[in-house]
Amino acid sequence: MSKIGLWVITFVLLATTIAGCWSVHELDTLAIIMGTGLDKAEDPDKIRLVAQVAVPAELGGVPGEGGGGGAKATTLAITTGYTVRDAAQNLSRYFSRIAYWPDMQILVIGEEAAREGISPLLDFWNRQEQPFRSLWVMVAKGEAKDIFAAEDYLEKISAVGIAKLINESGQASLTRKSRLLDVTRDLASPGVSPVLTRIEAVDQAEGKKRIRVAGSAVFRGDRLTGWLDESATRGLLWITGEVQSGAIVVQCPDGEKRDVSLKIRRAKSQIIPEEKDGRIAIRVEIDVEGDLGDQTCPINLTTPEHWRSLERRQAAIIENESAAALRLAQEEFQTDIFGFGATIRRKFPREWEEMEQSWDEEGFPRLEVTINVTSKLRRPGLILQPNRSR
Amino acid sequence: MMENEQITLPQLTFLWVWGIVATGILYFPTTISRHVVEDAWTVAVPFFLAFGAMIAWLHGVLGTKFSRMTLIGICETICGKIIGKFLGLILVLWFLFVTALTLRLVGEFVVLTIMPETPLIAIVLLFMVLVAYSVRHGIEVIARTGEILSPVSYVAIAVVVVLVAKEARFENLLPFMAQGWGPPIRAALTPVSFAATTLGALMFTPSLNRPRLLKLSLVLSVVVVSTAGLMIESMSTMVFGAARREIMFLHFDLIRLIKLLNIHLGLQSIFMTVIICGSFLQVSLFYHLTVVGLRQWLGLMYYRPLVTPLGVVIIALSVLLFENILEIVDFMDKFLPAASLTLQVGIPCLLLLGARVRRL
Amino acid sequence: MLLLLLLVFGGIIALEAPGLVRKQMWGELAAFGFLLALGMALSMAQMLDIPLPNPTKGIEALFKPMADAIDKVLMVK
Repeated sequence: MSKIGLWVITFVLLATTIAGCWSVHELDTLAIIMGTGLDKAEDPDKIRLVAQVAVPAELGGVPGEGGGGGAKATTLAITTGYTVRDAAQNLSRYFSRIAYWPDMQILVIGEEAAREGISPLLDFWNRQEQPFRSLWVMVAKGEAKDIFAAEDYLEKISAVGIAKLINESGQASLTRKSRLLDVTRDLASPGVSPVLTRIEAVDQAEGKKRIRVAGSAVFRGDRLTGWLDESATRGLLWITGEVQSGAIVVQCPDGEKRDVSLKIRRAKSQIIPEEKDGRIAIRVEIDVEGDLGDQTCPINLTTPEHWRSLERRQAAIIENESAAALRLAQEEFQTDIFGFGATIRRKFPREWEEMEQSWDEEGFPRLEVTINVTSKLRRPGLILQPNRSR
Repeated sequence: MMENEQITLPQLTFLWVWGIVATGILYFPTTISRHVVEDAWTVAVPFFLAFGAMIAWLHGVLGTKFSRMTLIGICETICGKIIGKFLGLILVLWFLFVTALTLRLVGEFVVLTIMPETPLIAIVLLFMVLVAYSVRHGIEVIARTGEILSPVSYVAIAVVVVLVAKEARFENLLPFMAQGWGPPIRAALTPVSFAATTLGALMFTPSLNRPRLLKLSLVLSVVVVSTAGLMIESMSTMVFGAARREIMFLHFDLIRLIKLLNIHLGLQSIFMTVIICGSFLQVSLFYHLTVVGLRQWLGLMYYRPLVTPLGVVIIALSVLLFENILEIVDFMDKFLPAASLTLQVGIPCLLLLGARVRRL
Repeated sequence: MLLLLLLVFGGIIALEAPGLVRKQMWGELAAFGFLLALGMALSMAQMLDIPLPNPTKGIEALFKPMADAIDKVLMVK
């Protein structure tokens, strides 16, 4: 008797739980958001949210072929609100479907909004239960809305294209890769200022706009204070050890105005705080290995003298780029984008307590930083001399 | 005693591993972050390990000394009928409270992370139906479930740590002990106060097959928990740095970060299942303790008739006890250590002292 | 909802009580009845939004001095 009762209970429970639960949504009730932009709205208290939504019917097929060809694969929805959540919730006024966020690839923050602080704009994404932490966060030169108006070369959905662009940006190391996790971590840590990817929409032929990801956006606290151009960005990445690959162009040792490019294979750095005459100073050791990439001058570069001269030239370029980034950060922006403060805090926690209060204003700009570059060239590639050499 | 049950020592160890770590893995990092960031791992080893092992040893000593009795029996033997009954009632009510607390912890976690639109009461209710069903079938069933689940779950916790190791930055663990000893010890008190529930193991010393090794078994469970704690605490600091202060469930956030080959796999659900299974064991364990303790206190023959009505009380309590999750975290951080240590360390100390005085 | 709750309690009684009566376990029956009544009272009160004293508040009040003392000894703010 009780056995039958048990079976009944089991089946009732299964029937109520297997079929689905409260929070279930079918695919055809969802509007899948691929990228989001945040700008200041006309009303100064409000935020404007631009959502790039995939149009499922247009996603089939390869671009350029028939089928999904003509129509656009994405559509833009623009709403405003006092907070990000408010604006996001307002999307329901425009969509007959429920906004679905987890597939989102990029978050673009407009320049003006970033100048007023990004913490309030990031809160929403960290608070959600969906995994947003590996989301790419970037700052647009100009408005975030314009970024989504531009087209990608290969991808039907430009947000996907931008995400891939940033993911592969290590090839040139001309921009800082910044995920939500990195930004959150930097914002929370004392003695580090965040640096974000910079993105812009540039005019190209046929009146079309294209995306360019280059340089980076410098923050002080959570506010945008300025931009680093591509070489200063690489200077920053040399110091923080984030350079993955790329090319260094140096002058040919034969004295003529011809160029040699060196391929970066490996780059490491170490930031060492040390006590020097009673004050704390920073020593940065940068360690770079490269190969000969190609050359335009007709001489044989694989002789020991030329080879060493190339290594010296490589070191000089790296030193210049790092020093330029350092000068910009210390003099112009006065913000510790390298995390020197954090390394000091790790090694000298007592001293840091006194420095922390006025770090960005006084400590960092007056910090003595020495940069030592060790540069090595390993291989000339698969040819030893240029073609038709004398 | 009609329900003649037997559990082995490894089973007891596994049970208490989950009795501490199941919801602990979710909430301890939160309470710990209130006091320490860089030194969070020192909370697990040495502080939790040292205090937890000491307390478990104390309970083991008491348990082996009176290996033929349950905790309630021990109270009455040492302190006499009236005071013994009083102490027994306090302990039973305490375990009732702990059961309701852990049930609420599971419920809050599920609502906050996977089913934000489901009402808490629905989750708690469904969860409790399963727990009550297993408790009705006795500690043997729970213990055997624990034996099967434990290795899998422990490996799953370790796997999470390995999979997010890519994001870890060792330098986030520095500076070492910049704030001195106070904060890490203070932070260790919340996990320790859960470890102190090993007192409940004395509720079923008579069911142990080899009660002599009780001490070892309890201490071992504390050791296992501290290794899990070491992994989670150090990894969450290494991954999130100072941002760990801002995060609710660090272990869940580590799980959220898992990405293989740049794709978010559906791994989350596997790890969530592990957490839910562990919590199931934890709630079952405390529920069972309460029921058995109450049976003993009332001097009844069977505990099975008490299971369902007590379950209703626990559900009601779990909803009643706290207004919101912030109160829960605050309570676990501030008041739980004081209450737990008074009741679960103070009372056994008194009992041992009493036994010494009365030469039992 | 109230009806559903009553139905659940009816189910529990129907499932447990007859066996207890048959086996003449009166002590168990009394404990069962008391606990179920307690559970019923608590859940009914919650459903009808009747304010109940919160045991957590009691524990907090009872152990506040000790919690403060711990903080003082370990010198955390």
